[in-house]
Amino acid sequence: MKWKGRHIVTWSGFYLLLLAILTATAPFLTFYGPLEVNLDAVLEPPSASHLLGTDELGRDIWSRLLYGGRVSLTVGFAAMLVSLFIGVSYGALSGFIGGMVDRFLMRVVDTLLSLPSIIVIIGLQVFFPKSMLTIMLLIGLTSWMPIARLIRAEVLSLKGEIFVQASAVVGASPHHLLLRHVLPQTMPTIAVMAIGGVSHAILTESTLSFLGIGIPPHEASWGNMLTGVQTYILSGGWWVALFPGICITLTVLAVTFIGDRMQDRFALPQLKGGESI
Amino acid sequence: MKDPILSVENLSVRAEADPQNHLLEHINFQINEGKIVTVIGESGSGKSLTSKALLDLLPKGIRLSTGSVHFKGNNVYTMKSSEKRQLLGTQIGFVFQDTFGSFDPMRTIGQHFTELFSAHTTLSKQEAKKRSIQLLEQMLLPQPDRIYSSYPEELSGGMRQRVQLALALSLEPALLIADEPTTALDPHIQAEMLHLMKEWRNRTGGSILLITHDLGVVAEMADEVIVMKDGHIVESSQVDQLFSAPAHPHTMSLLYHYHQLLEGGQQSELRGLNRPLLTVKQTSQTYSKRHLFRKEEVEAVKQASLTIHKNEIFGLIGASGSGKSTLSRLLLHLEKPIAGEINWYGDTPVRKGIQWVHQDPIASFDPRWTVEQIIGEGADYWNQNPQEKHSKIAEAVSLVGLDDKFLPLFPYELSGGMRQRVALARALLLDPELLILDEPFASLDLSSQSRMLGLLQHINETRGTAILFISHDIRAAIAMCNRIAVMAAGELIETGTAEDVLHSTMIETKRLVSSILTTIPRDRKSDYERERERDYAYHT
Repeated sequence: MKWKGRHIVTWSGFYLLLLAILTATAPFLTFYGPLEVNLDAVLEPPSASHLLGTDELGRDIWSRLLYGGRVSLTVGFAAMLVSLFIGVSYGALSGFIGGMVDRFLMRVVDTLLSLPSIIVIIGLQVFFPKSMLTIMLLIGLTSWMPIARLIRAEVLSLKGEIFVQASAVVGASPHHLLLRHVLPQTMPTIAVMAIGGVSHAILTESTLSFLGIGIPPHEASWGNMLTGVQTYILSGGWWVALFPGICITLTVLAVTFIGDRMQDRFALPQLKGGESI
Repeated sequence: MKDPILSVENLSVRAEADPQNHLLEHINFQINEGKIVTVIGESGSGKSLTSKALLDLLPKGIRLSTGSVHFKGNNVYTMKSSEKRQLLGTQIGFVFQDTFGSFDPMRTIGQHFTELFSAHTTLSKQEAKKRSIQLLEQMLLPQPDRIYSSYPEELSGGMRQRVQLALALSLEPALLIADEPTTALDPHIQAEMLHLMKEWRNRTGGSILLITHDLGVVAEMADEVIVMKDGHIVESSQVDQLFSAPAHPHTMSLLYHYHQLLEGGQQSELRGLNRPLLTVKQTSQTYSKRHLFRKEEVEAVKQASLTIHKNEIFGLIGASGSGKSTLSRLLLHLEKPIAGEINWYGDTPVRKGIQWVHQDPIASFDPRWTVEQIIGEGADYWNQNPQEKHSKIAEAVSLVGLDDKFLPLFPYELSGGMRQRVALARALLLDPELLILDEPFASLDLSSQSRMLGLLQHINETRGTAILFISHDIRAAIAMCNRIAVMAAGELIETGTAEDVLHSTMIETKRLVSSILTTIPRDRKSDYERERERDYAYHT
């Protein structure tokens, strides 16, 4: 990897670490609660008392940003884990078993992929209590299909590889073959999909919350902070939208850069550190 | 005497990064008109680099330090680049080992010819086409018109190699440089390729520089031989002299290994022939190929029956695509036959009892595993005791002559011969009673081949392991096996001793046998004899 590339990965890691520390220690870094309404200080620009200004209900944006970061990051990683778990196991089984089972399982994936995920999430929310847990599960449940498809394709081609057959000859049973030989080869793909999953989940959560159907409005999240801000931007209250916007963008970017690095990290030993291959 | 076509004087080449270390040093040789000069050496001896250095085609980071190369009296390294293009493009033809990389996959064979003719000649399109088809005909390709209009991937490896030769010879060069032109080919096609090259030499009086690692090819083709080792020429002499009175120890060792390979197994007598180990009865396997609207059934193995006895070394030979590998996969349980049965001591085979060494060792190793993990894998599934696993690995490793220091390495860090040993150690870890070796020598040097051969015989003798030796190399099979079965188009057409096979009357067997290269230069058959034999094999 080039020096410049490594540099940006270091900064991304630093940023995410900082974000994690800041959000974890939020109570010590803020003077106002994230939900503390102060109607005497509505839409105040950044100042000494409110570092990043206040929103339309007089809530401190700095404080909301930190507490909201907890929610957004948790949702991002948890949803990714859910979708990765379903996607990888589904895809691996489908590809490894093959035949009719594979064809059936993949038609199911095709069907699910044809449904627009936002609409499905909105529809499903009717049946679940509105909470952070629900959002994590729903985002996870609606985003595993591309992972399954990709993993299935890799497993399908890997199981015909000679080294897999050679292991079968020395006595490896199918589950050994899958877990010891086939799945480890898909690690670079899984790493990239995981990273993509985090970005996707963070963005989906923001979208849903922006639409007012994500994280319940009484909890702060970056998406929530953007709900209804269009009006204030037009009347000059740029700080209301700018800071959560920057946070979302930077986080997604940092996660992506680190994902690229991870792909390299998981690559085959002989390819490690090489860019040209 | 006439001036040589190509003369190389005191050529030395070094890597830019490491100026002390010369990759080639003081290379001197000449190629005279009408001569076939072969360069022989193990991999890494600098043969291919020499051929590149001759034409100023050195890879990036490697450069000439001293010396000169004269082609027809002109120094290649001081020539203007336009002159060079003209001279090298028209006067020197190339054939490489890789038959795929030298073609543009998006163009037909015809377009390759057209490009060549339009760049260097004034032939009209019709004339160029006529000439191309004529050239393809000379290469004994069937249906040259059809080949002219097909794409490279529609042809087999052997056909592509012959087309490559036709292209190389199309501008009537004075020198043909062939870098391992037959290494990847079936022996039958190999013999044909070599013959075509020789025929071209006899017809046009051109010269050939042939790079190979196979002394058999040298014995068949060469007038003069250059032996290379570690970037030096250690010996260069006439071919007869080289075989009868080699001067340098390295040449002697090459010849020793060569003879070892040819005569290796004749001393082992047949033992235990009455105790059948594996019996295959009337076994068939078909694959279905899907086309757009129809399914095509390909019969890979047809009604094959054979018996392998305890302690026996059994050879299975046949051209590529004759179904040898499919049969081995059936024996290994990797596929189920559509008909027939396979018995192991009269029962279904136990996986542990049959082990496998694949022709491409690197493909048969998990790329994320170290040598130790790979060798020890079998122990993970068959016995639980970790101490025992350790001693088993040590035993297998010492049996195949690997060093302990290789254990923590990854297979890609090892040489070809070492990789093949790792594969063998993995198979031996489970004390198999039958070892299936699928083209075990395909990727090895002559000396590694001969060492492997000795090793296999040692294992067969000391452990009583039966070996099924699958190969298209008849020489190796004859040298090594007690009995040989011949396979053609999915059928086992005959089984017998090496002697039986050599004197068989079956057409397919005769074809395979006729492609055996001469072992010493003075036994070379005259072209007339070869022609007659070939015609016999084709037309009967």
